[in-house]
Amino acid sequence: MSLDFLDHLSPTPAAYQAAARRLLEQPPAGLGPLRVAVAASFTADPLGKYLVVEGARRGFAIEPSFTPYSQFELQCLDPGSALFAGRPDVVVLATRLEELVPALWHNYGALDEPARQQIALEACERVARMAAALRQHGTAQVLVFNFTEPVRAPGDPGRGRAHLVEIANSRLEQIAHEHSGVVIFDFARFALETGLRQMFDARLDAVSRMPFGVAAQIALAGRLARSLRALRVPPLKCLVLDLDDTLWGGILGEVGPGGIALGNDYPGRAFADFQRAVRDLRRRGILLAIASKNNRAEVCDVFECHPDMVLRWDDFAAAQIHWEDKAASLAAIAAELRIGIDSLAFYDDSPVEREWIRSRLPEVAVIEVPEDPIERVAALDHFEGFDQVFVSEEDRRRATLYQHDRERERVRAQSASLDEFLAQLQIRATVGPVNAGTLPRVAQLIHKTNQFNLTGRRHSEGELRRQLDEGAIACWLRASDRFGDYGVVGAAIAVPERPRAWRIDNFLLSCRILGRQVETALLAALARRVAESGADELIGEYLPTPKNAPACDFYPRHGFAPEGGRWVWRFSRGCIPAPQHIALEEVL
Amino acid sequence: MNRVREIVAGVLGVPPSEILAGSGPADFAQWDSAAHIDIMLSLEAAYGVSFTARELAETLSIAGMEDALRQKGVRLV
Repeated sequence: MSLDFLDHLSPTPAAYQAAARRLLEQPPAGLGPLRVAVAASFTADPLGKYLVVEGARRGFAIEPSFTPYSQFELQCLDPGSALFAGRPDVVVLATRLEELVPALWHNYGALDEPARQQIALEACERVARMAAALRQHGTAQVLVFNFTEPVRAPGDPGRGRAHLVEIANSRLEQIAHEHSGVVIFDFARFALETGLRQMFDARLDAVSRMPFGVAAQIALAGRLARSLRALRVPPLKCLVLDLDDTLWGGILGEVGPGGIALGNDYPGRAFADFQRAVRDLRRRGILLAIASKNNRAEVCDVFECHPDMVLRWDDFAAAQIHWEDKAASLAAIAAELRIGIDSLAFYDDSPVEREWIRSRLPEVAVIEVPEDPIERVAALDHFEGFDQVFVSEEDRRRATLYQHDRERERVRAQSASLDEFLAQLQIRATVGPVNAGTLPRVAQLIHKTNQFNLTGRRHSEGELRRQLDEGAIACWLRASDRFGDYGVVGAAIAVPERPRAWRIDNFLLSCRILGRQVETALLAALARRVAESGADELIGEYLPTPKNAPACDFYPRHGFAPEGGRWVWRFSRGCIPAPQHIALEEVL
Repeated sequence: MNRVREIVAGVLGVPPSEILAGSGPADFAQWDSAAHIDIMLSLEAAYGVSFTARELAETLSIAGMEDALRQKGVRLV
């Protein structure tokens, strides 16, 4: 079934109800099921139909459920509640200060500042208890609404309430940071953008305890669905950019470096703003690349000499600047960066180029570009392909990591053999146990690693935590060499299958470090830990996925013997030797 | 037949022919308070009118809805 019927849906409850019913009764093929339980301090049930539609637009068959009015807290705290029984994938904790601590705003004028803060922080602690219980007794990820000011402003003239809400929201962020799998939904931002009065519907609030009008409910469901998608879908890895009329105004080859529009005044300001938005993406780990039909020397001239360029040449991990076909350029960029073509997003002001890429490379995400440069920053923000809920240290340093890679390539070119190259790199590896501190990065690796992923099993952080609680041995691997630190790039999880026999549930390595034999170091360290727990054998599995062919010979290459479609290492043969050229350090 | 019954039928998920002038929450299990609000808000959007909280809560039949709309200057066929 096509989703065309979702286009031009009129913004009424009736239209969305009919569309949601159709989606629930005949779920279209290809949508990923997602059970979402909403525990709200207000009546959130009317959001259900909007969530179903907005989820479908983003590739998800959302099955929403709602805790009964005023039971949100009880159901979050009670592992036997209907909320837990529904085994949700995500729980949305939609609480407001208005209902959590009504006294705060009702008695605002009568409370002194310390009392106000104490009440606001009490609300936070209640949210913390709910989030902690949800994580402790279930596997769902938890999306926590932060707080806003009330629609009616109580209190003294001359002293605002923003600081109070800010104190509470800082505490919520801290709570999210302290619990893995708990993420903030920036409701405060949504409310600011929409406007408190615009959102609020006094009639619905009075009649049904739903504080928001229809338009705000639809917008909120859209924003929520976007966050839910980001929880489940890893971000694209690289933004491929055109240059002329994209990074700057005008055609460089026609007007020259001095003639392009870029700077503080209209129209150049729109392009400078766009470059700043792109730089923000780079700073949180999105790789940048150029695909432009231009003369390379002229382009380099702009990067070196134009005073108003925001992006530097070094900000780009790859550049294809020539007069050949852009589809070929995108393929070359993906190959150079060792990422899939489906990890690319393409941004070009030319509708012809966009259509060309859509037709030649349907797996590339082609971003819609408004004709007016003024609207382009908003359009980039509107694009959801780079959404990410957790930004790791590795993400922030990614662009630098790719620079190191280029230096390594130079050493490789000068080395007579692979062994010589590996020896020259002076690789150091550290292996340690997965714990609360390293779980988020390991979960992220599991989520994002495609090529060297032995089983393709993508356990969520919650499932991983359950495996650990049930006695799994899980290790992370951090690697560095003389050019720099790769960060945490590998993980392996072994679970007991039967007495004295352990199975490697998954084994993965970031593609950035393939070909350095650090996988052998990780396997050796994991095997040794499994042997020390008293195992006689270690079982490896290779489950083919569309992308993990590079890992197919991993176990036979390390001497595992075939047995019933799997691979077995018997510790009677001793341990798996670690590679000579890697200095391996183990953290217990 | 006018759009009032179509909208009610759409929210309830039944053929419009099942909606009669006297139909109300008692006649359909799915016509609960949430569905009722959905019906009233959809009527507002369809006819460009605004109901008071009392009208939202207490207009509990098709005939009542048509009356309320007429009072707000809507000409129903």
